[in-house]
Amino acid sequence: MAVEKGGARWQGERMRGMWRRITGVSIRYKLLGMVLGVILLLGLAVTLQVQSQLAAQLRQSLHERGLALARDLAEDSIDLILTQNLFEVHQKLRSTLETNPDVRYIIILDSEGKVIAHSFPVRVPADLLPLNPIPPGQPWSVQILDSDEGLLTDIAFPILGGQLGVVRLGLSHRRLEQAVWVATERLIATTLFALLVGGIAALLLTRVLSRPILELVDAVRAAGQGDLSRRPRVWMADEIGELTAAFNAMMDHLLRYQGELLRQNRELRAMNAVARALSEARSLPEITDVALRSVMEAMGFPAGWILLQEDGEAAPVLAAWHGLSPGFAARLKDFIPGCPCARQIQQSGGGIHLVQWSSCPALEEARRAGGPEARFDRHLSVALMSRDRILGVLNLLIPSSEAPPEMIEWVEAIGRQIAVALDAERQRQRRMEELRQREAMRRQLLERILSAQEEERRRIARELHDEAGQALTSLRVSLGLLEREAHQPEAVRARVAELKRLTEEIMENLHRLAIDLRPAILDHLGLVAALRQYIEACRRRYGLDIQLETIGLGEGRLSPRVEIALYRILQEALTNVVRHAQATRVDVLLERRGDRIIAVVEDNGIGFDPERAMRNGHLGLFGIRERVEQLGGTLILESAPGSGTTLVVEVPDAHSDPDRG
Amino acid sequence: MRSPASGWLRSLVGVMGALLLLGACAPRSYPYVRLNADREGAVVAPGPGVGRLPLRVAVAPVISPRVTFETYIPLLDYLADRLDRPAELLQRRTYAEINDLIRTGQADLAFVCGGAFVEGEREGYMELLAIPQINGATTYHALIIVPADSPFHRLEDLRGRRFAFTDPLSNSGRLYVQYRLARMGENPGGFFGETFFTYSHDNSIRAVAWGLADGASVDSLVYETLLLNEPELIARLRVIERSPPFGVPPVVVHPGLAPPLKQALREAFLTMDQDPRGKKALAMLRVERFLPPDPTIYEGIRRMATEVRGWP
Repeated sequence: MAVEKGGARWQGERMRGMWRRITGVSIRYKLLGMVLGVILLLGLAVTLQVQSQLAAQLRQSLHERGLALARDLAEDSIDLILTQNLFEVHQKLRSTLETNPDVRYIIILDSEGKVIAHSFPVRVPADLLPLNPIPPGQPWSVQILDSDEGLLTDIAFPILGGQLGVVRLGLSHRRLEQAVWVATERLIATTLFALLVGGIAALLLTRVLSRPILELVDAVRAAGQGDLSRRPRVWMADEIGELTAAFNAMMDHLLRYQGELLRQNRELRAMNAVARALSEARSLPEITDVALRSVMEAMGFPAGWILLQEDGEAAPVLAAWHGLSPGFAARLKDFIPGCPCARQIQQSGGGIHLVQWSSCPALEEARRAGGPEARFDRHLSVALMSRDRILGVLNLLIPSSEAPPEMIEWVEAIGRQIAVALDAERQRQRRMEELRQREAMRRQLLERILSAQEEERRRIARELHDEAGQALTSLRVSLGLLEREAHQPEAVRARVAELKRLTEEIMENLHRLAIDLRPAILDHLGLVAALRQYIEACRRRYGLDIQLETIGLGEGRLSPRVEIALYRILQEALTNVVRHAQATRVDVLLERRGDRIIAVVEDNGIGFDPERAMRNGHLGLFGIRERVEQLGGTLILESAPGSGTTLVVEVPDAHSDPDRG
Repeated sequence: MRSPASGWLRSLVGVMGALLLLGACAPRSYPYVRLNADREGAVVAPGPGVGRLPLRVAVAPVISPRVTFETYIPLLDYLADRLDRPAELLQRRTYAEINDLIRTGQADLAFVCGGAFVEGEREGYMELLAIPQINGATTYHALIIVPADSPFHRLEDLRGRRFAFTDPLSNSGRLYVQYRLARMGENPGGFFGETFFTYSHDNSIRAVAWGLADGASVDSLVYETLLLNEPELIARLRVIERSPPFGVPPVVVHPGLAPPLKQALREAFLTMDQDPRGKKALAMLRVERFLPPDPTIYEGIRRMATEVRGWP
């Protein structure tokens, strides 16, 4: 069973193999085979058809002729038989036999089957007589016989309806077969001739037909192996011609796309190389150097340099160069301030320019002096632009052959990339600077806070010493006096009154001290009440007209963190006004807008330059900013010398403490 | 000289042709015969075999042998039945040959023309057995016919023309015209342009109808039979002369025929109209009945023969 299965599979594979081998034959041989096959088939079919037709027709005509002969014989022999004229009958047989070459024999039998006359030399063959009887009801009978002389058609025709006997006529098929054979031979010869002619014609035709296909196949194979340059010829305007034309068009497209793809790939590689190089660079000089090198390397420029444009109107500086002779580089530094390419880029607002040697003083000089750069007759000037700002210029020297335009486009793109890197580096440097400044400020503030604490302690100590101590000394002196004057009631009374005044003065001083340190009211009654108290105290102490307005704050309390911060901010602001503004009037506004608190302090004082104040490390302002930033709020300081100051602070009223949350 | 290529080609053609022929012929099988086996086989059969001696009836070719055969077969059957022996029909091309059959004893009885009878009677080997009655008469006429569109209306008009005779011994087919011409002082060879024998009356009628002859003399009985059977043939003819009546063609025997047979035969003929099979045979012959012989009715023929044939 397994063997049978294996056998069947083997058979199947063999069949498939054969089929592959048959179908794998060249189209030339297929066409040839087709033509020859058709001719052969046609010839064979025609031969067979003609042969069978001819044989049938000849047999039919033989049959009819034989029947006519037999009928004539039967008719003619009636009278002869009736008049017993057997000699005449015999003569008739002989003449019929002689005039009809197809007639092999004639026998005339009487009604009892006895031979009356025959055409054989001696005897009628014994086999013959019993054959071909006329069936009852039939007018005659035809029977084909086989014999030692080939096929015969035996016709039996009755004489006088059978009353006088039967004529038996034998017709040889020999001539018929010869005729069929001759016709067949001719047809086969014709077919072979047609095969020869058809074969030659088919060979020529298939050459004509298959050549374009084979050429196309070759071209496709070549294309498959990467050769896109092959263009098979369009021989004829038929489907194959169309296919060839379509193939050629496709190859043209493919070639163009491939070129484009290769170029884009090269450019992308260049950009990628530049980007990778840039990403690894750590400083501006490194960036410029790396950028220049990688651009030159990736895009095949032999030499170039980068100018960097600092802020404003400052002249560009030579930041990096590569592939230049030392002499040219040295001269370049001299020419840069008046270099037209940087100016041109500034004027046109960026872009890319092709600068001829005649417009470039450095190249002109190099030509004049006969330096190595004399072989360059121009250079590309590419703006290094980021966020619409020109950060510098990338100059690339071009040898004799012109740079393709799409390359210029890509150089520009790379220029932008470099500019972005430069911009980022500059911003990073600026941020670093800022951080450094802020750190310094913070350190300064810390020192100031420490010294302020010292100061505060010294002040409290002084105040305690000067005022409380003085008062307490007075109090002790008064108490001593009181002791001495204990027996003088009038004096005691006066002395007690003085003691009371002294004590009140001490109490008030202590109270003020306490408020300055931390107003208890802030804890008990909230920001608004504390502010009111503070403003009242200021008003009294400094004689300033301070107005406080609150909107939307009502009875609700803010978070303690926000309250103390705002209190300190406003306290600092008012202190600043008192110390520096020389103002006569201050308006304070405290407003709740949604979940944000806005505090505004506006004075009509002398004003100042806020930026400079910030930069110079004005600690009061810096402290305000620190507090606002701690709360996640914003600080706006609007002021100019001579036009008052407005300070706006906006902080979120966070009920939960973000520092601890 | 044949190149190998042409030999190869021929063999290829041969193979292909053989295949084709084989394909065309192979599947059928036919009876096989050996044509060239001379030692065995049949030869021409000798005369009638031994057995009962047949009654041999000879019929003169008044009409063509085939029609004669068909017409006389019932009579032969009747005679065979009556005489209880097979009957055989003998036909010959000419009247003279029939006369010879009677004269030499090769035939037992014969239907002959009046002209032949008077010849046999004169030479002594014929005697009358019976005579047929046709249309109530025992006589008939000779008719001289021409084509229907012929311009001739009398025998005399046919001078120099082509004339068909039936048989040298025929009465109506020759003797009557010979007699008529002799009376005119003429003889057929001098009067007609050309003459020929047709050896039967219907042949003569057809010869005139087909234009082979400008005129002929025929038996009125045959003429009337054809008028019934083939009227379109007769319509192409015109009768220009009708002879006086002559005795009808009789049935004759050799005078030396065995008397019992002669008697039996006479009886068979004379009583034919009383027998159903005999009636059928009579109908075929278009004869009402057979009568005993009356030699006198042939007197006219004897006279004409005497004059024309130069009998003493």
